[in-house]
Amino acid sequence: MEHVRADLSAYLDGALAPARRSEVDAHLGTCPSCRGSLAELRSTARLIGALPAAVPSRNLVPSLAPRMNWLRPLRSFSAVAAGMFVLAFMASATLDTGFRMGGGGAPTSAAGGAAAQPASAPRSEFAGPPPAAGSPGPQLPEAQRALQATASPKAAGEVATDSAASPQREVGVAGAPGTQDALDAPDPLRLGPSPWFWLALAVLSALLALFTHRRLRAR
Amino acid sequence: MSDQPSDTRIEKARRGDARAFEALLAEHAERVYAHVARILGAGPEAEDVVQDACISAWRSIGSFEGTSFRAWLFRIATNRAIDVVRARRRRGELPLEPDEAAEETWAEPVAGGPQLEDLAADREAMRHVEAALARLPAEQRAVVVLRDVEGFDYDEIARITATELGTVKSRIHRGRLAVRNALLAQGWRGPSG
Repeated sequence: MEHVRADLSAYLDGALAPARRSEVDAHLGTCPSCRGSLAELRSTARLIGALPAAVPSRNLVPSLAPRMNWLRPLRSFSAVAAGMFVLAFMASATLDTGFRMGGGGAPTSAAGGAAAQPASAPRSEFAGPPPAAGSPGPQLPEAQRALQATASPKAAGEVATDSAASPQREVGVAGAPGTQDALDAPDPLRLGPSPWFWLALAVLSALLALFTHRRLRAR
Repeated sequence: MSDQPSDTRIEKARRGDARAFEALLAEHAERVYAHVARILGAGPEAEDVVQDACISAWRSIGSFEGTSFRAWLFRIATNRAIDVVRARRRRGELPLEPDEAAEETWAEPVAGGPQLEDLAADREAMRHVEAALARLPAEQRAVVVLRDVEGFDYDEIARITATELGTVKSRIHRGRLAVRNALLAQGWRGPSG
């Protein structure tokens, strides 16, 4: 009897021609040895199929779509801009705070005159409507002005001249020219926009950098 | 992963839609790698072969005319992997291709050993299966894996490996037999009758 072992794998996989398959079928019905061999090959094939598959260590799908090359420089630019805006914010806030604490831009000529002025008092509160031309402005009582004069010797000499020569002076704290200068002092200088403007720009730039970074990662 | 049918994506890819092609590759890349890793061994070289195969497939997608993108991709990857094996042989890193006309031998099972069909859950046994498979010549190993792991039929395997149907049958049979003999040599036996 001729065994059919050489055809057993093809028989197992249904790859034999119909005629040959019938012959092998018939032989297997009468040959326990070939039946055993068939069972072994079937088990072997199943074991091979049960082997674990190797897994790649990286993504093997190449990026074939055209890249949006402008995203990378935009991400870099946004990140750098965010940093610069943060620095601008910090500088602006520092300068702004420094000016506010320093009492404004106008230097005072006498310590007494400066002390007589509340540093943070808005000057406009003391500025009433300018008196009409030629008319003397309202003045402090003589006693109060004399009191201020003793505190500021230099100012004392000007008290009398103030009342006569400067009808346009502001009311309320008449006396030393230093105080008047302070009253006339402009608002503290600010280098450009408000600090919050720089902070807003920093936040917007950071968000743009984050957005472009996520788009690049998604690709 | 795209929800579009594979046919739709293939048509899009043939018209130049790279994203559709990437989606197709994403479905098959890991299986292709597992197959190439069986031929070459797992590692960076197998990964490079798969990536090269993917790029080569993209460049020649216009010439794809078959119905099975998977079989086509496996064909490109298998050919590249076999090329690497042949290069290794030329450099003397691998033995020469064995004589496929040699007579097959059936080792006799050891009486009383555990049956082959019970080994799937045995890690030790599976390591022997792995080792026996690795000792097969690369061409035999490729067709055995294409059949028993990937489930391709003989005609597809013949197209994938660009060999005759008779050669595919012979290689599959000899490959399984070699693994079977190696397991029996470890003391396992086949199921009775």
